[in-house]
Amino acid sequence: MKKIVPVLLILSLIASMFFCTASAETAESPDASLLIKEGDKAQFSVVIPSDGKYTATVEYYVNEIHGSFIECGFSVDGAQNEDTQTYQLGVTFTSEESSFDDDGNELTPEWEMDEKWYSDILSFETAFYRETAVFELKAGSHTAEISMINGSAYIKNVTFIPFEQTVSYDEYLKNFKSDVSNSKTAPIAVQAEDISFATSKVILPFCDSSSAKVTPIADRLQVINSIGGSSWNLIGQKAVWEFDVKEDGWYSLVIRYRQDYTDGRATIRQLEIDGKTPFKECEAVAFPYKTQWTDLTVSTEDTTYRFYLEKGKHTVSLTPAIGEMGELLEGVQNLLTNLNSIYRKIIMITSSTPDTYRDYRLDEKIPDTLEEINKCEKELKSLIEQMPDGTNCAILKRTAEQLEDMYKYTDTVAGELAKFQSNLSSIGTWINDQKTQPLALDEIALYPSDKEYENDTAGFFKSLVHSVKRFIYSFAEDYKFSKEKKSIEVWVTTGRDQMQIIRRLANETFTANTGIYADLRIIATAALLPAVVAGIGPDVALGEANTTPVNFASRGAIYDLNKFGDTSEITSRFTDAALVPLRYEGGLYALPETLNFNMMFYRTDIFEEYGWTVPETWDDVRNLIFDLSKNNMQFGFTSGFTTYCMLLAQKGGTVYSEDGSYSTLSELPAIEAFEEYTQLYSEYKIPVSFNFANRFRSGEMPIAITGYTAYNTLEVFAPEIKGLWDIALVPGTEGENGSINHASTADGVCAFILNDTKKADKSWEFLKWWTSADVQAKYGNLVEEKLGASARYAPANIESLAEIPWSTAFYKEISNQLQNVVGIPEVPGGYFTPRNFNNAFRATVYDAQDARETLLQYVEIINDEITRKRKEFGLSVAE
Amino acid sequence: MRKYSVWQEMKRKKACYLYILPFGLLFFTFTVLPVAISIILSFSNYNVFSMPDFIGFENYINLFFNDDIFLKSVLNTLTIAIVTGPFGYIASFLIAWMINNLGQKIQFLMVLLIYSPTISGNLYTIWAIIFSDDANGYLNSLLSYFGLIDTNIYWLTDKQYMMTVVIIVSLWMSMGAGFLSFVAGIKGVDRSQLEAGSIDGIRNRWQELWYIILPSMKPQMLFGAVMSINSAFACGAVSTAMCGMPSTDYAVHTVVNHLTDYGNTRFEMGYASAIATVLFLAMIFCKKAIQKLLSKVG
Repeated sequence: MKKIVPVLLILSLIASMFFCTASAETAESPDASLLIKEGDKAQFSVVIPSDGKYTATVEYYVNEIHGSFIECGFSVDGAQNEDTQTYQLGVTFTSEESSFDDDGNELTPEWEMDEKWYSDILSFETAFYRETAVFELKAGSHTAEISMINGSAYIKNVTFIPFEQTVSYDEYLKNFKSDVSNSKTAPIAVQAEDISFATSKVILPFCDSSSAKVTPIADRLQVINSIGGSSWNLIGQKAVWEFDVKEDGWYSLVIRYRQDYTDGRATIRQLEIDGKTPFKECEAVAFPYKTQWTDLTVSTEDTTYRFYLEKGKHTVSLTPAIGEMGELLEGVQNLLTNLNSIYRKIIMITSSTPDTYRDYRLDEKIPDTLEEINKCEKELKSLIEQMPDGTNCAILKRTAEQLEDMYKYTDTVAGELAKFQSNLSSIGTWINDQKTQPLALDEIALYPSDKEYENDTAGFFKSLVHSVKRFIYSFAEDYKFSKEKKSIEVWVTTGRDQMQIIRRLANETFTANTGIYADLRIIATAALLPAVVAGIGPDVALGEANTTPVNFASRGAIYDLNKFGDTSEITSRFTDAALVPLRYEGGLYALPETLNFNMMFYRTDIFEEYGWTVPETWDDVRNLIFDLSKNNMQFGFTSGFTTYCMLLAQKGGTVYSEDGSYSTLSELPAIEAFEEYTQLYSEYKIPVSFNFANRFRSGEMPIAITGYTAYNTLEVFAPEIKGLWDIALVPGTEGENGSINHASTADGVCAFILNDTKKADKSWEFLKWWTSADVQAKYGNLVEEKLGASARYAPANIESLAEIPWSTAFYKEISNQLQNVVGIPEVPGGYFTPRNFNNAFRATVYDAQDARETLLQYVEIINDEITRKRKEFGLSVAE
Repeated sequence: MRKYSVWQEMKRKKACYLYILPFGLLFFTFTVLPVAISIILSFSNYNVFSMPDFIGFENYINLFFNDDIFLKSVLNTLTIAIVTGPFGYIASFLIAWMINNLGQKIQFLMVLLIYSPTISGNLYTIWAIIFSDDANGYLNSLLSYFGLIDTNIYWLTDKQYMMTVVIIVSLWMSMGAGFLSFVAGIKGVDRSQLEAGSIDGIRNRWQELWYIILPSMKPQMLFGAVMSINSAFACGAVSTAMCGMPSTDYAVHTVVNHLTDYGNTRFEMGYASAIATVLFLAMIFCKKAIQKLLSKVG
């Protein structure tokens, strides 16, 4: 074997460590002086012996992380490589020992981050591939600088190693002279679920009981027997298995997999042995679409690849990759960005709902754009030609044809616009589909190359027996979580997947620590009230609307949490705003679970193109609306009581009096806010009713205020504008002292204890456990792993919000806004407020009534109802 | 003949009563009992969670003399009922009659087509998309495409249009169970009667309809009428699905909406029961009136 002696040199770290932390040092943890915190930089000096291409290996230590890697910037001699390229310092996760529930079902293990020294070659990742960073360096001394962009790490040193091209298979074979036959050696099989470590927590082991072809077979109890699946689909998610090779020799690799996720397309893995791609062909191993568990031998059509392994421990790793499609997809992505901007240039002239009978004379007004259409069409066609055979690119062809028509017959462009936009969106979805590389694995085996390969998967009869067994066992298994008397009953209103995650968490961390069983059941929200009235309600209800606690509390049906000693300690987990709707007459009747507050979404590409700035105040918004209208665009502001309350709070107004006995919407700030609010709709003509996601992605509405969980919708629904939008604080109102009040309002769900419970203390233990930062963060992450980014959780617990894998910039904005959230109190009779607000709003905006008079008139109705209700509950009544 | 008291009569025919017992029990528990309880509760103040207390006729007095919104909802219900009830009823009958003259296979297809809006459950929410307030909603964009409007119309939240929308959707759904019973009733008319009629001097289809078909399907007519009154009075789901609950300024608030508002939102079950009782009595009264009217047919 040709050995390359790494020339390496590194040197000490000089200079600028800007500070030290005072953190206590444990035996393992590294020298605190090595720590580089987020936003800081460190420099290392290096001597390079000869000119050439080098890769950089960084030795680092990580003890805490958001997500699965740390982002850093890296430059040599101050010259930033490729403008603002960021690099990733990955960490690995190991799963804990397998554990079982009371019935003997194996539970999905949890991943723990390995807290250790890592040594990793610096690489960067685009949306479509991951590449080792290569630096061209001259002999002499250099300074390398690392800046932490997202996350902190201890960094010991940086080593430069000459860059080596990966060899081809033929060359690889030449490197090994050995031709010892190993036909007597036993194959070495490793169960894929017994993974050594992975670079991402989403590579989840799971139980497949549907087939007898998978090992070990699960027919009665839950047995974890496979790994991966639809969540293991993104580049960079490396999974590593360890093999103990008993004899030197040539081996081939057999992988039992199932890939029924991509509708006909093969998915790709990059294969590495001992952390290194052995030869070029391993960079893209294709796993064809198979709906059954299938054995795949890593090979081409006529040759089975042989790997030379010496006796001892070896690792095999598989990482999702895109292969040759990567560059093409990147091409399509760039094209999509261009087409999006072409679309916007056209609607500047035609508006998004053009008059199809009118000739907009586009060839005179925007000739450049038409040329660009022509260019895009040519580019798209050449991309289509380069696609590998069998790629489903109908949507690209359709778009290419449309572009051709648009260029040829410019007078039809206006009529084609809607179809054009929907084609762009389909391309976005197509790119996303092509990008994902899901795969499930059951077993990986190193098979001696000289031995005849024997397929030992279950045949027809074994499968039949398995199915019959499963059918019979289905009568025997009791899936009810616990029959114990010590249990509390918890009703949840979430979906089944979420409930299973709560159950698992409760099982593992709640029951284990407290000895209390939580018997979880899914119910429809409407079932709670009748059950409580009939006296068969639960002890705890989760996922209830924020309006429910006061409704129940005023009728004595719900437990006052202030009766517990440590309540104030628990409530400090949330912002006060989240607790406001849950308080009633001095009592606290529920704990908040989620908090979804309004934020401002805007399209960075459009704002950049027009040179607009993101509005800070409502005055800025009004100015912006003029610019928007000039370009046929709109400002989005979801109309309704909660968004009005934003303005109200910014002007220092409140909805109710201190004791809740009357509405203060008749007071000056409220009237001013109402006038300003209705003016936006009636005079500035912003739309009352709109579909946010649709208009936002088409560019028709490049800026909108809506609940921040709209993030989820955009992630999934509008892939074509990924990375082209951002969020910001809602516009504020300037106060007298010049400070801007950015108050925003929120809604959410909450959890409470019913008054009929006989196990108040146990129920309280459960609530405390459920709303704790750790559990909420785990729950949020697990839900996201299971259901994808569209199910991103919006926890009310402040600490756990930080644990949700937001990008740093997003998280900063969100946590900034969180500090400015105000709560809207709930009072008896409070249901009359939003409804009469709507009446007043519509009378003002639709029928052009006087804002002040209308509001005052409806506030009277609101006050009448509040008084009536307060009388019913025997509370003091306002004069 | 000996006269029996009710109890003795029942004892004498105990086998018959035994036969209807299973259904009778269910009917009593889930229909008679709730109605009775509701009538009792209507004289009380009952907030669902605590015991009801008796307050006499106060609920009814408030209902008729203090509750503007109730009167508005009665007016709305009557508007919807008067437009959709008779229209749906007559249209159901005429269409059933016409279908009857078609071939066997087409008949089946037509019945399925016309009845489908009713069996499709909550499919009427599709109308909420058609009538969407959004400028990009189907109807709004269609109208602006033809240049009939220049800004979007708030079909579902503007008082001016809401009632029309609700009536259109209710009409679309009005071919209900009554329609099916008409189809069956017309098919059940004895052919020999029609023949006899033509010998006796029936000159045209209208006479045939009036003198033979209608009189021989009075039971189906009554059934159809009861069903149509029921659905007309119980309308509320449509306005909730289209215009929200409650609708702007209660413009399409029906009696049933009012009932849900008090029962589910305000937890004033006593008052809600009073509304239900009034609705119940109104329905019985209407049924009686229709029966009288139908007796004049033919």
